[in-house]
This record gives sequence, structure tokens and C-alpha cells, in this order.
Amino acid sequence: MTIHNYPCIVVCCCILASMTVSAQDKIPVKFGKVTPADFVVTAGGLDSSADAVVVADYGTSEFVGNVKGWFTLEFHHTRRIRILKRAGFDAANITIPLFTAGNDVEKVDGLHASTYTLENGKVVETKLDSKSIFTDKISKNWIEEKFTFPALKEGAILEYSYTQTSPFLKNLQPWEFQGEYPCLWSEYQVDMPDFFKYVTLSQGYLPFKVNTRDTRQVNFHMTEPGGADRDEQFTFDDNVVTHRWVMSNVPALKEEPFTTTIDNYVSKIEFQLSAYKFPNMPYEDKMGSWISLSEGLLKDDDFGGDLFRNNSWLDDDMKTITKGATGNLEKARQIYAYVRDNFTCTSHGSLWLSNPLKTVYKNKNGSEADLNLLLTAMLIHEKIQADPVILSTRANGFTHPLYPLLSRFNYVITRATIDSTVYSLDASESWLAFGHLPSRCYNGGARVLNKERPYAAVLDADSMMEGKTTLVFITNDDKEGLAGHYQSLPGYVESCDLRESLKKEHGEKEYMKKLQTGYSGDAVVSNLMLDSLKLPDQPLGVEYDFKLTPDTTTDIYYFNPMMGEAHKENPFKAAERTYPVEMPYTMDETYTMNMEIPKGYMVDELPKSAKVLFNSDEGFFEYLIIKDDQRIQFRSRIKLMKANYKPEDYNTLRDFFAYVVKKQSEQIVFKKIK
Amino acid sequence: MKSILSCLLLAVSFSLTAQSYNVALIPDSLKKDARAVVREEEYILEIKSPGKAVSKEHDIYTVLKEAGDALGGYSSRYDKFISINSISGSLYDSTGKELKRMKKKDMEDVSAVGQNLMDDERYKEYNFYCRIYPYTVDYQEEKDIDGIQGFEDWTPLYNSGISTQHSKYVIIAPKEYQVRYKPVNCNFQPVITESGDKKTYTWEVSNLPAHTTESYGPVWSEIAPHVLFAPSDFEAQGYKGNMSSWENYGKFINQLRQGRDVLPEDIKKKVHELTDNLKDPREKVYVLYDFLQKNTHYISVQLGIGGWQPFPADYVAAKRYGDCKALSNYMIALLKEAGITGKYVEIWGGRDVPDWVDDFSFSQGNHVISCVPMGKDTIWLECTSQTESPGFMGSFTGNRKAVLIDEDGGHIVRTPVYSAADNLQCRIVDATIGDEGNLDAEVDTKYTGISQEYPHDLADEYSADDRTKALNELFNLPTYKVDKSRYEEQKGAIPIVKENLHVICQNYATISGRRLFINPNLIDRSSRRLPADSVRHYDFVEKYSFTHIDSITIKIPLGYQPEAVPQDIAIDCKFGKYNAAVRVTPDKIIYYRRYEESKSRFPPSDYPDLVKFYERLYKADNSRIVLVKKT
Repeated sequence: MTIHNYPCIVVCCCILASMTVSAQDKIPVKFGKVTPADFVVTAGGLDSSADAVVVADYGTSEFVGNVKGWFTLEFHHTRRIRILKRAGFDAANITIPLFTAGNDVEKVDGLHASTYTLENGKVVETKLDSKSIFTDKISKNWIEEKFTFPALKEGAILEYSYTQTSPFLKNLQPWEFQGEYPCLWSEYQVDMPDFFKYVTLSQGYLPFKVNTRDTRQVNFHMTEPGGADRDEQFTFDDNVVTHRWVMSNVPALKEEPFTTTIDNYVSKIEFQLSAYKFPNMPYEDKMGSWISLSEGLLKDDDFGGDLFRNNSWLDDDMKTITKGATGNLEKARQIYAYVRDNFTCTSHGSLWLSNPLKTVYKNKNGSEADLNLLLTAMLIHEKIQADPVILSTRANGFTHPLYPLLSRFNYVITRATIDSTVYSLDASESWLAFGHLPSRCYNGGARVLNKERPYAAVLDADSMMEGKTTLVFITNDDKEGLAGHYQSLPGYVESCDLRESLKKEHGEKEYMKKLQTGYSGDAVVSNLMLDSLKLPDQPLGVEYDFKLTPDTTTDIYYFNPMMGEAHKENPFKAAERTYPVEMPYTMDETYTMNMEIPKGYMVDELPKSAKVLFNSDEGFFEYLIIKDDQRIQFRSRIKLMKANYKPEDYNTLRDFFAYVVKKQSEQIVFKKIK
Repeated sequence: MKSILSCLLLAVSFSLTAQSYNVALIPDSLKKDARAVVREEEYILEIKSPGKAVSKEHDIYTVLKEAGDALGGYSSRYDKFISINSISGSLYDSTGKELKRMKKKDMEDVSAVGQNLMDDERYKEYNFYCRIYPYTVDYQEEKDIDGIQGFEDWTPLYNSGISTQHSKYVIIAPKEYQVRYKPVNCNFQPVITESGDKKTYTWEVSNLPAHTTESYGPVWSEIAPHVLFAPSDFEAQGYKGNMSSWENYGKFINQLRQGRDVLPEDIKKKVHELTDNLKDPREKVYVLYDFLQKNTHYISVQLGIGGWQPFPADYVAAKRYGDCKALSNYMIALLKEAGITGKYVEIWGGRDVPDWVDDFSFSQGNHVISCVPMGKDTIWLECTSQTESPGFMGSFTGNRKAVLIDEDGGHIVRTPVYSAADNLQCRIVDATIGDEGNLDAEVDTKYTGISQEYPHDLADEYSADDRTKALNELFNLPTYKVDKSRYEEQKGAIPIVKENLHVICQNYATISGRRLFINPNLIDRSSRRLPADSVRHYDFVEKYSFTHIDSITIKIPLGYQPEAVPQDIAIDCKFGKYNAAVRVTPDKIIYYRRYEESKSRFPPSDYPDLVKFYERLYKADNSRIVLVKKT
């Protein structure tokens, strides 16, 4: 986890910074003034292959009294980019997302953008014309202001600035120091009045060049609309602390495979409103605690408000749904299966109800929050102890371990406790089983919401094991060939994926084709059986027969005992890694093969048995092969006890899989008996 | 090709009002191979005048299983020309009992901007998200059309795996209005009736069973029976035109371009600076195309009649960007200033696009290019690319019909097609395998024509990081790294890319005890394995011609002798020419492979032989040399 607690950083850096204010700490460009000398700037030592470089990125946020008797946030943003190569032209496409809620809207004012090019030693400025700024309505709550820079060419300097005003105090703009392109100077200043308290959260691996705070007195003006009466003017003074953060020479950050989300590793600062503290007024907490967050959500009509009502609209149907169930566990299973099999999940990644539970029930569709809160209500209706659990999916980033930051959460599941056993339930996917969660949920800190005692629950990928066992028997058939039988119990994730893919048009036919064509050599596959394909609560089984025919024209028959199950490529392709490897699960994969030596052949050579350990006790790869006069027995097993690895472990991991790939490609050599 | 229409029945007496949604009423023949059934489709287009119309659509679909869910939802497009008056929908269970209703206000309003910078098109969308199969949905909508650019076609069979119980297309038009239509892959003809000053044209069809597409088969528009429609006189946003012939259509498009070729003075000056001293008009074209490529790039803004009308040349000059229309129009303006005539060409861009329908004039295609006729020759220009060679039309726009537009109207033209010799991939590999089985290889490849498209993109369109990433995922090798890459290009009508890669691969050769297993074919292995389907219905389509040549030398550790060496193989048949040969000397392996295929189509009866052909290639390309340690 890389989220630091803000105060400790500030305290130490503040002292340092106040002693070393120098010219070096000033923004190195003059916005709006571009000279021929500016056209030599590159990402130089930072990234010689960069397609574009952010020369300077500068933002400020402040609170301004408004005419509604309250405050507006003003965010000023100015940015200079230099395009180095054509592949960097994308940096010229700018989108500013704006939040709206009814009459409250975020707005962009004073948008100016210019492209500067060097023509015959002279700087030429081409301004963006206002007709080329477009507004695209994305959804009910989001609009986008979009434009692209005119007169683009390699080497051009782009500069834009705008002011974004927001009536939403919760939207104090965060700041990302790191992005898709390297950045030479990134600076953010926030003027925070004493009467608003925010918690500052910073993350990332990079150090600040400047991190200071400076206090001064500011006079605030605001107007209280009087309605029928005259408007009333207010002014008052309060302390404002100016925070200033600077990073310089920030490298670009690029996503690699086995990453939950790159967002967890970007160097950035964000804010959470925690309290109001106006002069002569009582302190007003806005952030609360985990307990108040739980209470609030359980009371909120858009979340848990319906859970504890008597929900008599369920009375009749619940009798049908739980019919024949003996005991609470069986009841819970039937209720879960009912929601999973009869409701469509229309979107994943929401925290709030899109409709009251009764409407969700009637519509038979909704987000995962709708479905799982309904599931919770149905369990509670049957007097089964059930709590909603909120979490953040892997793609959404980590939650904060200390602060009750609701905005970090984006997913709701259900936790049922039956006969003191806890079951985590997610009814939003048709292929999920009772008591299982999709791998996206395994992302660390989840929160169980409960009236008496809300608590943290850790859903760690390290605790999720993907186990697969495969058994292959090969015997001599009555002709010159070999008859084989393949039997496999795939791991949970693989089973889910397989179930999902087999649902598509011609799913089973396509799978059969894939099996057939995926086999190397002349194998003929038949009698495919998929056990419990439509029963997600049962483990999936795959079985089929196959025939092999050794090439009789040569004396030697080479045979890979892994058949089609070998790992043929190393999953870790990149040569280096700068941040942790986060696999979705730990693994335990066993492949066993038992074969008769083909009629008329003898074993000339067997691969050597081997075992390698991964970091001594964190896993192993085992390759065991023995023979007697008639048969060969073989086993390959890969076991990894951890899903998450530090960047230092990357090379070990890559070498480990390289060895697996190499060993699993080895061959048994049979020779014709003369 | 087996006719898709063999079981066609016309049932004109079908009555919509007697509709029942019960799934039991679907004949078994329509359930076979079907994921969904179009129970009823009725489209009524009432043309009021050349510029105005009202459309009414009524669709009833039964979704049989999850794979058919795409028909369960509804999406309706609207923009400056089309406004939605009303939409409603209902959901029914398998017995035909109504479960739920939907109105326009329940629909989601979705932006269609996508990759464009701006587009005024939007969608209204809705989905019942039913999970109990089978279920039936019924949607009705009415749209006002103000500004006519064309009409929807009638394709009663929507797609693979969807059957149709009844489909009807009706046009009601003033008596004197010329309704133009053309049946494709069928002979559907309308019933025409007259009442008062109106004429009604009705097409109708019943009970079309579902069809299943096949890999390497023809595109859907080539299989499915459908009828194309187009206006004769039409009006849109104050522009009047006629598209009853390519001549008239071309004149209309030309009219939209009127006065849009005016260049600013500085650009005019630049054109003369660049071309006045050149004698050869070809040189002038190349120089101006290079100027276009260096000074513009592709940005798409589609507003109003923008689907047809390019932004003017001075707009492109000022902003240095535009879409395919604007950039082509700009290119033609540059050429004009240099005294050269460039032409504006509408075309389908892409690999899997329909053929241009040349015997029925209507607005089609999705792209614009330009060209310069030069006597017998023509220089084709893709104006949205900053790196393409002048004259080259690869897999995106090559080998197809298009309509060229000039002051005389529209003319059907054909873009160039490339032979197996044009699309060459010639590779020389100099490699060493060490004692541990690791491989170190210098890979030099020359690509030409369509074969150079991907390496060209790697060299020119990818950032350095993305290129490294792509190269490290490209090859079918166990654990490898491309640690050096270099590209050299030669522009031309058949462009050339030369690529040099240094590849290191761990454990390329498998060591099992005393033996060393080596596949001498390092990189170019055929991966095509065709499923041996029992019955093939459609032609097998090979879209491009190409020649691949590999000459590979691999130094091997000393002390081994060959135990098994793949036999030389030579195949020469109508599907392709393939030969591969390998020699093992005490210190090296020498491998040669040549594979040539020509663009062609094979009837379904050839399919079993195609399966065998590709199996032979697969086996040959994956066969290994076995070396055993000398004792």
C-alpha cells in the first residue's frame, strides 16, 4: 500500500522547504510568452524516446464567496506541452469532464488555447477559435468540453488555460503529477480557508521538490439571496493556508500486465472534505467515522434504507422461492440462486441503488448494488443474518485503510452468517457459485456494514486459490494407435470463464473446435462431456476421449507428456518491472499422465525429473517422471502460494516461468523395437 | 454457393392485428440454428416530398437463448435530420403474456461521438434485460425525417443465427415520385397499388430459416437477400440533388464542394515555391502529397450535412487538420494550384466491407480518397495518413470499386490490386543456438506491398515503447526479447520496409537428456488449422495474395548428430505453392521455406482438400529436427 498519511510528510518537508526557497523552486516557464529558445525543450535525460513532453503543468484551487450565500471552488489550470513526434499528436486532444446535478453545474470559463510553431526562426501563434470547442453530453451527470489544437506539427508548443468553477465542495480538484507523457514541472497550489477542513491524501513513489504551506488573512465576500427581500451582503476575514506542491522531472507511467490498476501507482494528491469550522460556530464533522459511515449508509434510502423495513411485498414470493428448503443454509442457497438466475446485472461498479428495492424486484434487473442489496433484504426477510459489504474492485484502486472515504468504494456484495459460518455472496454474475466472489473483488480492504458493529474485512488475492487437476490415461488400442482419456477439474476462475464463453452462439461447438485444433499432432478428439456446465454451484468437469497415431514411417516417436496442457509462453514478457506484480490469485496446478508404452516401441529416453523451489518456501514446480516395462507415470505440478509480488521478485518470477515453459516442452523418445 | 432462398415462401395474407406473441407459434424450421427469431418486422416509409418523410417501424423479436440477447434491446439513432416522435416497447413471456412496458422517457440518451472530436448523432437506447428464455419484445417507433440523403435497405435476415417469420417493407410516395430499388441476392418485387395521388409499394416475405456464417466465408451482405432503396430527386439542408444515375449523384457531391477549394495566399505561394521548378507532373504530385502529410493530420468533426460535405480548403489550411473528405478536398486544391487535376473518390475503407454496388446509384461507402489520373496510370492518394506512400492502396482501400467524382458527375473506378510478387515477405535469419538451448538471432526482413503494412505501422505509427511491446509479443517463441530493432523505408507505388531485429530467446531448443529438439522454422509458422466441418455452405475466400520466403541458418553446438530431420516438402496446387527443405551439417542447420498464395475463392466442394492442405502446412511448419549427442 502506498498511500501516505499527509500530516507527517508535510511537517518534515515544510521545515526543509522554508529554508531553501530559491530561484530553482519557481516555475521554469513564462506562460503566454514563447520564444525561439523554448523550441529546444525535450524530455532529454528523462525519456529520450518520448513522443511529447509536458513542459509545465500548473494548477491552483481556491474558495470564493458566491451569490448563493455559500462558496464556489475555482480551479485555474494552465499547461504547456511540446509535441516531439507525430505519435504524440494525441496529446493535442483535450477533454475536460464536468459534473452536473440538476441546476448545480460545473463550468469552464475563459478557455484559451494556442499552438506555437517556429517558422523561419520566428514564433507563430495560432489561436483556437471558440467555434472549435465542443460540448458532448455523456450522461445525466457528466458533460465533456473538448477541443483539439489547430496548426499542429512536430516540435509545436501547445498551451492552454481555463478556469473551472464548481459548486460541489466535495470536488476540490485532485492533481496528478504523473501521466502518459513525461513532465518537467508539475505544480499545484491550494488556498484552503480555515473554515473548511480537508484531509490531503498523497500516493506514489516520487518525491516532492517543493512542499510548503504559508498562512495569510483573506477577506471573503458573499451574497445571501433575499428572495422577496433585498439580497444581503456578507464579508468576513479568515486565515487561508496556501499549500504548494511541486514535482519536477516526472517520468511517464505505463501499465504492465498483472496490475490491479495503474491508478494505485500514479503520483497524485487528492482531498476529502472532513469538517466545517466557521468562526463562532460549532465544529461540524463532514467525514465521520467508519461507524457513522455505516449508520448513514444503512439509513440512506439510496442504499440500505429498505433493508430493515418489513418489505411485505416479498411475503408471497418468498414462500415460493424458499419452498422445500430445510434450514437456513438451504434457504439462503435458494434465495441466492433465485436472484442470480432470474435477474440481469446491467452494470458493475456502483455503490447506490438506482431504484427502490421493490422496483428492482419488479424490473428483474439492476446494477450489482441493486441486486446484492435486494439479496440482502431477501435474506433478512427470512430472518437470516445478512449484511451488505462495500468494497473497491481491483480496477477501481485500493480503499483507504484509515479514513472512511466512501468515494473510494464502488461495489456492494452480501455477507450472510449462517450457523456461525460466513458466506460472501455476489448474485450479479450467472456463473458464480454460492459463497464465491469474482476475482475483481479481491482487492484488500472491504467494509461490512452492520448496525451494531461495522468492521473491516480483508479480501486478499493471496487468499484466493486457483486449483486445477488434470488426469490423462493413454492405452494401446487394438490397432496401431493409442487411445486416451482426458479428465480435468479446472480452477474456479477458469470454470467461470469457460461457462461464460460456452454461452455464446455456438459456444460448445467452438470449444470443441478449439480443443481439436489446439492439439499438436494428429490427435482426434471425441465424446466431449462438460459436467455441471449449467450448474454454477457445482464444480465444472471437462472430459473427452482422444486418439493418437504414431508415425509408422519413422523409427522414433517423440511424445510430450504434457500434451496440449503445457505452458507454451512465459506470461511475464517485459524484461523489467518498476511496481508490484499483482496476480488475481495464487495457483496450484497438477497434471498427471499415465500411459502404456506404445505397442512395438521401447523407451529410448525420458526427460529428467526435477523440482525447483520459488523463493525457498513460496512455491515450487515439480516435474516427476518414472517408467517400468509397460507404463510411464508422469506428474507436473506448479504451486505458488502468493498472488502479490514486489518489483524485486519480478526476475525470479520470470525465470521461474521460463523454467516451467522449458521443462514442459521436453519430450519422451520412443524407439521401434527391431 | 447454395441459394439461401430455397425455402422462401411469400405469405401476403399475414395480418399484423391478429398477432400473437406465443412462442409456440414459431415453426420448428425457424428455430433450427437460431438464437433469435424476427417474428414481425414492418417498416413503412411515407415520403412527403423530396426532402421530407415519416417512417414507422414495428419490430417483434423472440429471443430463444442468451446468444440472441442483442435483439432484446433497442437502439434508435437521431441527429439534425432525424427526430424521434415516439417509441414504445413491451416485453412478453413465452406464452405471450405481457410483462412490462417501456416509453420514450424511460430510454437512455447516448452520445455517438466515439473516436470523433464531435458528431451530432445520438442514440436513444433501452433494454428489458430479460433472463427467462424464450422471451419476446415488441418495439414501435415513429420518426420525422427532414432532409433526405438515402433510405434504409431491407434485409429481412438480419444476421447469422437469426430466422425471420415475417418481414414487410412499405414505401408510400406521391404518384409522380420515382421510387428506386434494387434486389440483391434475391428477386424480391413489390406489389404496387394506387390510391388518390399516392402510390404504395409493398415488399413482403415469410419464413426465412436462420443461416450460419463460416470462417473465411463471404461477408453477410454477399449472402443475405436484401433490397436497396434510393431516392431520385432529394433535398437536404437547402441542397437539392438527384441520384438516379452516377452522373447525377456525382454532380450533386460536386455541388457541395463548390467554392470550397480556395486556398489562402500563403499556401498558394508555398505550392508555387514547391512545384514551379519541377517539370515532371508526377514529381509535383509527390511533393504536394508530402507537403500535405507533413502539415495536416486526421481529426473528425461530423455536423449537419458533414457526412457528405467537406470542410473548405482554407479551414484545413488554418487548422492543419480535417477528416477524409476535408483532407482529400484540400489535396485537390493544392494540386489545382499547381495546374494538376486531382479527383475526389468515395469508397469503402476497411478490410471487411461490402462491395461497392455499381449498378445502382446511391450514397454508400465510409471514406474519401483522392487520385490523379495520368494517362493510362493513376496516382492514388490516401490523404488521412502522414506516412503512406503516394500511389499505394493497401488492404484498407485497394482492390475495390469506388466512385470518382468530377464536374461531369460520378464514374465507377477500380483501385489497384496487388499480386503475390507485390506482397513479399523475404526473411534472412542468421542464428546461433548455445549449449543451453538459448537462441541468438539476427533477423533481416524485407517487406513489400500489403506485407509491409504492419511493419510500416510499427516503424511509423507506434511510439518507441509501444513498438518494443508489440515486437515482444509478436512471435510464437517461448521466453524471448527483441533487444534491437531498426527500420528503413522506401516509398513507392509498391512500398518497401526493411526490418532488422536482434532476438534472444531462452530455451528455444529443447534439451531432453542426450537430445536437442529444434524447430528450424523460427518465425513464420502457419497457424491456420481449419475445423473439419461436415458440410461447408459457402465459398472459402482468400482475400490477399502474398509470397513468404525464409532462409535460415542456425549454428548448433558441436558434438551432435541428426537423429530425425524433416523431409523436404513441395506442394503445388490451386490453394498455394509451398516448399520447405532443411539440411544439417556438423555445425549448422540450413532451412529454406517458400510459401505463396493467391487471392481467390474456392467453392464449398474444395473445403475438405483445403483442410488437408493447411494441415500439411501446419505439420511441416511445426516439425522439428532431433539431434542426439554423439557417444
